[in-house]
Amino acid sequence: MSKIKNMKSKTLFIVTFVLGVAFLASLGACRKEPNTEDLKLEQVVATDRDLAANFSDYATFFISDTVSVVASASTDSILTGPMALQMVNAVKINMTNKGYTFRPRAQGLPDLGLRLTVIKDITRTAVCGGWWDGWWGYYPPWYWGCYYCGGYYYPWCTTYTYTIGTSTLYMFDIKNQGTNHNIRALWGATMFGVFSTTNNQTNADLTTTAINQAFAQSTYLKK
Amino acid sequence: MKKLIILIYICAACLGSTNAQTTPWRLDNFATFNWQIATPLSTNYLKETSLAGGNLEYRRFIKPNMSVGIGFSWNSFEQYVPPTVYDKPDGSRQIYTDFVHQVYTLPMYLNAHYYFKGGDKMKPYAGIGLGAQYSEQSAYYNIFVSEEDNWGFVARPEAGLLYRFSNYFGLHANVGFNYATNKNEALKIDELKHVYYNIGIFWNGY
Repeated sequence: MSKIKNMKSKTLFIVTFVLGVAFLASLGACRKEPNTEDLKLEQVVATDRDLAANFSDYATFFISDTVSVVASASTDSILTGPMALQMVNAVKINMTNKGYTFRPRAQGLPDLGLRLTVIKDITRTAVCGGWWDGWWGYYPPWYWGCYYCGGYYYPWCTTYTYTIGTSTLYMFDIKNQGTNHNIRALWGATMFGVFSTTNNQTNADLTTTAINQAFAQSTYLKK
Repeated sequence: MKKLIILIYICAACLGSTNAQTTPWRLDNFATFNWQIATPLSTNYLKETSLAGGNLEYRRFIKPNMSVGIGFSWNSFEQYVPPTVYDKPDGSRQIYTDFVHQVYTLPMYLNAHYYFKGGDKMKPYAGIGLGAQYSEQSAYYNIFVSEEDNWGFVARPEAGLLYRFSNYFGLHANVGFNYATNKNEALKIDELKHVYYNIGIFWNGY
């Protein structure tokens, strides 16, 4: 009887122990994968400003009707046509709503120049990186305080790597280029997220929505 | 699956009831397997109750009313955070996105329990588990994820109940508080706490 009891206890312990060890070995294996489908419906929109800039000092702006494209095909350098116009018009409408006036190129230099770039079909290559580089590993907004303690200032275009569609919209100070001896970037928006691989209109719509969001969250942008 | 579990309980209860009425209950050592529900406490990162969890324990009696053992649990907490604009305090930067926040916890511990007199079929108890907790904290946005894993000390006071259907098999339920020292600076997590509810079965090795 005592032998039977010991065997049962032993079996019970071994079963629990084996299950426990398997459990330990797997660590994250019991973790439930979350449903992230809804997260792809909108792009992440990040905006950045030069704190020294006084946006009410500027009155006019210019943006080209074409959109710069960075893509895997070397011929895709500029996007024209209805989709480009849709995105450019979104910028124009938002700038006008903020109190700025569009100045066509023929009428001379504007106070502000804007450039829209779409990066698509790039395998881990992108441009205009900078401050959001640290963002991938650190969740906003709490980490920002320390990440930028190192004296980091305004980003300038450089090369980074992505696997996604990214659009950048940058605003440059044309008015004071002579005084500054350079063209300062005053404001930038980076919009990124998954792009459709088959429907460019979907991507244009995603980018248009993101442009509107970039202006909406930049409440300091006004004449 | 739920129906199957209920059916097993009923069958076990029927089989065990006649036996239990005539046989004195002796506990020498037992294992328990549980479904664990958990509610996170005092963290702004997530607050939603999780149904995705489990627990596994082995206990051995060192006195008629006292046991020591080993246990493992796991919980996957997650919560959708709608699109929000996050501002840097100095106003220089904003980010707009929605998130799925997730915390996965895996406490493993040694435990000790004291058993009260509860009658022929029932045995209430109280105890504590002490050990280590592995945890992963993730923030999903668009197709990206920011993730960190860490270890912490864990303490788990709890109170529960054993209800036997037979000498060898019965129902187990308990409620407890899981406190762990896991930290995540980026997410401003100084500790991980949750209340858990276990319901499951036990198998008496006697």
